[in-house]
Amino acid sequence: MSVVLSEDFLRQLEHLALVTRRPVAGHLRGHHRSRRTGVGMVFTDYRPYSQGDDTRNLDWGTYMRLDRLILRLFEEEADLPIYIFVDVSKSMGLGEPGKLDFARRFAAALAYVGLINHDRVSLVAFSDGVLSEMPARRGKNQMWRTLHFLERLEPQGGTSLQNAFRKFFGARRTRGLVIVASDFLDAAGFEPAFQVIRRFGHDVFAAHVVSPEDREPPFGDDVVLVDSEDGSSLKAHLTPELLDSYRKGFARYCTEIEAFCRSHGWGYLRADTDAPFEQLMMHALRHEGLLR
Amino acid sequence: MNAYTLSPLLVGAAVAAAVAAVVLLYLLRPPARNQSVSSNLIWQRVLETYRRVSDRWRWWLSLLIASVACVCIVVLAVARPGTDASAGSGKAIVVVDNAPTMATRTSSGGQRFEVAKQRALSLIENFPAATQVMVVDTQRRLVTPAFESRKDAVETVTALQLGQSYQPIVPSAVAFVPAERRYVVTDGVLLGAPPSDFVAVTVFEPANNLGITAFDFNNVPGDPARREAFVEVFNAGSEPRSTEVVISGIGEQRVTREISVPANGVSAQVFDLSDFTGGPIRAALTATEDGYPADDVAYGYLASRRIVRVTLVSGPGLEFLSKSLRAQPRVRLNVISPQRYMDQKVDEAVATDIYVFDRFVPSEPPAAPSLVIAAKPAGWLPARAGDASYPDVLATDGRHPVLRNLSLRDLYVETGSYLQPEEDRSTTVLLRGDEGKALAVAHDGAKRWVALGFDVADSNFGLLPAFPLFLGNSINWLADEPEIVRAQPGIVAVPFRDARVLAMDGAVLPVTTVDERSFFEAAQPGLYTAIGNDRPLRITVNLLDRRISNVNQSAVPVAAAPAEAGSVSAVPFGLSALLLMLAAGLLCVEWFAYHRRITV
Repeated sequence: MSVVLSEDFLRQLEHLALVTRRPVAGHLRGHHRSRRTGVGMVFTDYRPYSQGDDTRNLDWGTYMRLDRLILRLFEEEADLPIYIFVDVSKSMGLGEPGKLDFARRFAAALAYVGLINHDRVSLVAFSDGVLSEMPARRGKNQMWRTLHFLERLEPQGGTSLQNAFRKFFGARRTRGLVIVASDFLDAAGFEPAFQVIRRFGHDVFAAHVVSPEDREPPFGDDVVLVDSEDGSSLKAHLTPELLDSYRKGFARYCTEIEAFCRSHGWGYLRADTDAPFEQLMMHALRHEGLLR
Repeated sequence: MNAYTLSPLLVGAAVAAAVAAVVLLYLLRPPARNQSVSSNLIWQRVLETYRRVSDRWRWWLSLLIASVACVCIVVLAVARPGTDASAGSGKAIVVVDNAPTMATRTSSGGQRFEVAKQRALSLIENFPAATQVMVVDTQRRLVTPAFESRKDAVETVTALQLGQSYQPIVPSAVAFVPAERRYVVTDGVLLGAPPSDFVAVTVFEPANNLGITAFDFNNVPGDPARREAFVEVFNAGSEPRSTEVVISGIGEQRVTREISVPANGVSAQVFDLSDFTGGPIRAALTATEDGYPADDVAYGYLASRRIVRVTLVSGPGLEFLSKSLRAQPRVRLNVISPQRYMDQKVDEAVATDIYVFDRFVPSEPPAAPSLVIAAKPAGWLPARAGDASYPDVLATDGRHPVLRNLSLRDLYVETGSYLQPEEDRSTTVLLRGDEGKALAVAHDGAKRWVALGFDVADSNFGLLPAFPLFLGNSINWLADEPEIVRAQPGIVAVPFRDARVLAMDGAVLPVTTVDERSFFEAAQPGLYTAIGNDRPLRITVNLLDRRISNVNQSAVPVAAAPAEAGSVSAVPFGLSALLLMLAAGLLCVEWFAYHRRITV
């Protein structure tokens, strides 16, 4: 399935950049603050000169006054490692518009923003584990690879955020921005999974993909609710009272995720698939502080 | 519980079929469609907090059970069950009270008896088809009750008529007939409480009733020319009521009085009938909305003659005889000597109603009925059959009017003469002495006479209390006043055989003769005339009984009747209706549970 982004929309995205609230730890020069000192524009500190330091950063005025060699340190600007996780579990295959389709477009848009800003963009498709991974890419010309990766994604398997994060971050990953596009319908819960990310110090932005069917079940009377991921079934007589309880329960679940993210200073966006996509990207994400 | 209209096998089959149909429909209901959802995670949370799915299936199971129960109840209701635990297909006895008080009107306008027949028919129709039913009435109109099919029993009950006996009974023989079910359909007024092994089905319903409970005539003491009627009116209702009492005689003779009778009380009234010439008298009430009209009328017979002219033909000596005769009511006594009697002219003899010959017997029959004391041989009297000396006196026929209410056990006769009456139907031996010889004879012919074979002075007869009664009875009988017999409706006995009984409208009633008495059935209060021995006997048939007029005094309370009567029609709505209401309730519960979707 192709991922379609209009030309106008791409042009608008070119004016945006992904933002992280934390200093990044990129290895390459970029436009994001990092905790390392080096070549940069923003003064951060002094330290005594040691052999091998760049003499261009010596503070000659101090030397004249104190007769000591003091080196001026500058905050190094690095690139931003962006890890975009796309949930491709079977539950993402449901909904109209489809949640996976939405997630693909969402990931493509953010990846485009990152690529054009020379951030390192990695794409990870996961369900009950990491299914496929696009290694870190930089530069606008990597966009076609990104789209190609996304187009090949198909819904499969169950959802295990924890397994996916643990497996991906089990390898050494530079601290960066983790963007998760998922419906977060994980039987094991989302908290243990997010704790894995938190342990590695990444900044997280959770895009909660919600289809209208998840939000407002359209069916009634006697149904057998079949879980799209594990095939388990629940026999129920859907009364108005029960449907109302479900709506409240789903809203409570969304609130729990948002509250968890907010409590850790992370971003959260409830992405309804039936909402205008471009408006969502241009306004909601800027409002949430992911884009500027 | 047992189904009466269907056999247990059929009811069981119907229930099984209905249950099978319900279960089949339940199983054939559209299955729940599969609906794929992203995850059951939220659903499980909601259901855990709302209700377990298993609870839902238990609820569905309970609804299925409710449906099955509902259908079973409907089937049982259609089968019209009863609650008699002992009900089976055996035998049943249904006693229908057809006592006269069952003619009391009910609020629906019909009679209690009609309601009783409907109840009895309902009972019988609800018995199992193979039940043998014995229909018994309390008036013995059904002479030989027997077990019969339900159909025949229905016809028997339908043809049953009210009886006239005011002493209804449940035949004791019925108690020894084995039967699984025994019912008495009654109002409990005259029959009283039914036997303990019978289930009472009451048809009692309170009713307004005013009735005449006493009606009699008396002469005013000291003035034989005046006569009064005594009327007692009883109010069986719970409210005071007013009515008009009308006493009417022959022609235009009529007395009317408006009276008020307290609730459950009586009003005693005395009417002056001095202006009435005598003969049949009718007392009637004109109360409206009277539940039992049979006691609203009463009949009597007022003697035509007020004064009886008696001539005592006696010599000097027996003063007490003349005094005793004068003491008799209505008697105007004239005492003459035998010589005067012999010399009297014809017109003087016509002025005498009764002669009393004391130790004197004319050779020719007197012109009027006569009482002969110490009879001597004469052509018109029995011949002498020997001397009597200290005989053992025995009253032979206490039913004869002359000996009515007399006790002659202490009669002691010293000397006298036996009489030898002719053996014919008109002559009756009143007293017998030794060897059955006649001491006193009565002759009922063209001119009545009574002859004593002994002198009152030669016996203690004059000293006995029975003597003035004997004189009174003799005068009444000799005066040829029609004899009056009082009776209640029902079988009435006439003291002679082969009587011819006429009703007030002149209709001849069928009569049965047993031994020396005749019997006829007086269906309703009235005046009847029995003719035999060439003399009429007046029979007044009246209820005149407060137990009868009190139609609200039932021994079977209304409140207790439904519980005892149990099954069918003693309750305003039967068990079938109760079952149907229960089924409707279950349907409402099921509808509410299903359509209100309180399930999960």
